[in-house]
Amino acid sequence: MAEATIPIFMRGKDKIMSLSDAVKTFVKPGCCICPGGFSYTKKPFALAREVIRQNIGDLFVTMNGGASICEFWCGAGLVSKIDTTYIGLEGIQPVAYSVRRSIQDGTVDIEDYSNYGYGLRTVAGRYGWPFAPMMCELGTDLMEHDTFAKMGLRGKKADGSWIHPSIAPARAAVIEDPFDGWGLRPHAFEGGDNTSNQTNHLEKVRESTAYTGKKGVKVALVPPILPEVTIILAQRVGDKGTTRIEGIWGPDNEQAISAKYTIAQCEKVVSEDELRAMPTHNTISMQYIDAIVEVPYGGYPGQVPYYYDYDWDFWRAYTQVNRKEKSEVDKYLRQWVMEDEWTFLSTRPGDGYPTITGTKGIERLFELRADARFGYKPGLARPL
Amino acid sequence: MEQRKRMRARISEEDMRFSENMEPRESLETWQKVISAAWDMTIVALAYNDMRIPLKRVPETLETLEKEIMSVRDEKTLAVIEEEIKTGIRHFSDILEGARDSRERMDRILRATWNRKIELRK
Repeated sequence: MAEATIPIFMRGKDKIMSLSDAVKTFVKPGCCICPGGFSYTKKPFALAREVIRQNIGDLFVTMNGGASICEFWCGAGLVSKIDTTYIGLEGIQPVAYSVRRSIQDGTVDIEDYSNYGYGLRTVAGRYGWPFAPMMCELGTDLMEHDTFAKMGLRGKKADGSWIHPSIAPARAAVIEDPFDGWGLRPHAFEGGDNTSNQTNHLEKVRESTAYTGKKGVKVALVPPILPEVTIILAQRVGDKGTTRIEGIWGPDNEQAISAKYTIAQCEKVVSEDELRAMPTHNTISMQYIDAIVEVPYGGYPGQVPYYYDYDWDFWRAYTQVNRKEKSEVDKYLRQWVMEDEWTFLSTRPGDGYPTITGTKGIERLFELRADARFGYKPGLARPL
Repeated sequence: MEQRKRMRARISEEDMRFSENMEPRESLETWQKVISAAWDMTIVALAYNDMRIPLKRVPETLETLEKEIMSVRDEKTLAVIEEEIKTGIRHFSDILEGARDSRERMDRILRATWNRKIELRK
């Protein structure tokens, strides 16, 4: 096998990298990047900040589970396409304003799936399936809209190659169920079906002639996600890449395995022996991890279960900032990230927004420490 | 209540200005060592969460077993019990040994922290 075709994980190359080297090596302008984590939880913010520092633009962002990283990248004008499900900052700002503004002013094109539909796409990506079957978007207008098709981003070029390697030739396809609804619930067990999933309304579905013009059960097929780079945050990663995520997994395991390259940002790099003592607790095998970056507190201003909680005061202030002029948001974010991550962590937490104690830097980060018995910080003020 | 009211108020532009030339009061090397130790203690605390409830149950099940010893009729059963208890002693001794050293160091660090505080106040 020629050296160039051997995957990085088999080259014996040390995967432990600096934050700047990992981003420089794997994140390129125009690439399809998939941030892990869910909402404010376990988001690889240190990697996201480094992308802003290196000013890597024209990004195609694909992700399930919240838009906090995408919000920063849109605010810094680094995004051109989004393929996602939900673009909110949870209760504090139900639609992330920089993302919304970028869509409204036409600088970003967005393709929208349901959370469940996108989740199935990540499962297809994980297992190498050509598509995943689902019923959930049938009957909704999500099936009617296809932004990427309108933009001419789907399908093949004249030479037979894909127009975009991370965009499928169709948003979804609808077929007649080859098993005639046999696998749906409620099932015809003798005495009935008492499982909790009774939502398929099988008899009503059988009467529908939608999509194919014929009566019968229909199934929507969605393509896998195939990102070029996935970035995740795990609490512990072994020195060869074995990854253990504690607390909510979110879409991380599927998104990491679906990607061409995965960068694991972690709170601590530990020996492989430490993690392999209980292998069933590990969530991603070493061969799927291409770069390991240790950044304790690198999930700030988000939350990392059992280690630290999110900084609600920061988010409250930020949602005032992101409603300012676009150029001001851009300027704010570029000032906010500073020149490197340790300077950022030593300076920015608690700075530029009011907190009860007024502490700044790493001292502020320790105010956000979670109680390991619960996973979060009880009593943390979260005023809306 | 006052604090909460203040936190709900709209944030002023002045509040949102970044500090200029902020010099960290502590060295980064010190902070990195603090974080590293804190994370290791967290990893252990998290692992302990998993055994917190069964660990409390063990004395009760051992007491039941102790009472049962007098009802055992076959010596081979006693040999099984003996082996299980010996294994338990090995595991629980490991847990105690592993925890004792760290616990003693924590007391020492706490005393050193208090002494250093007094020095810095002088």
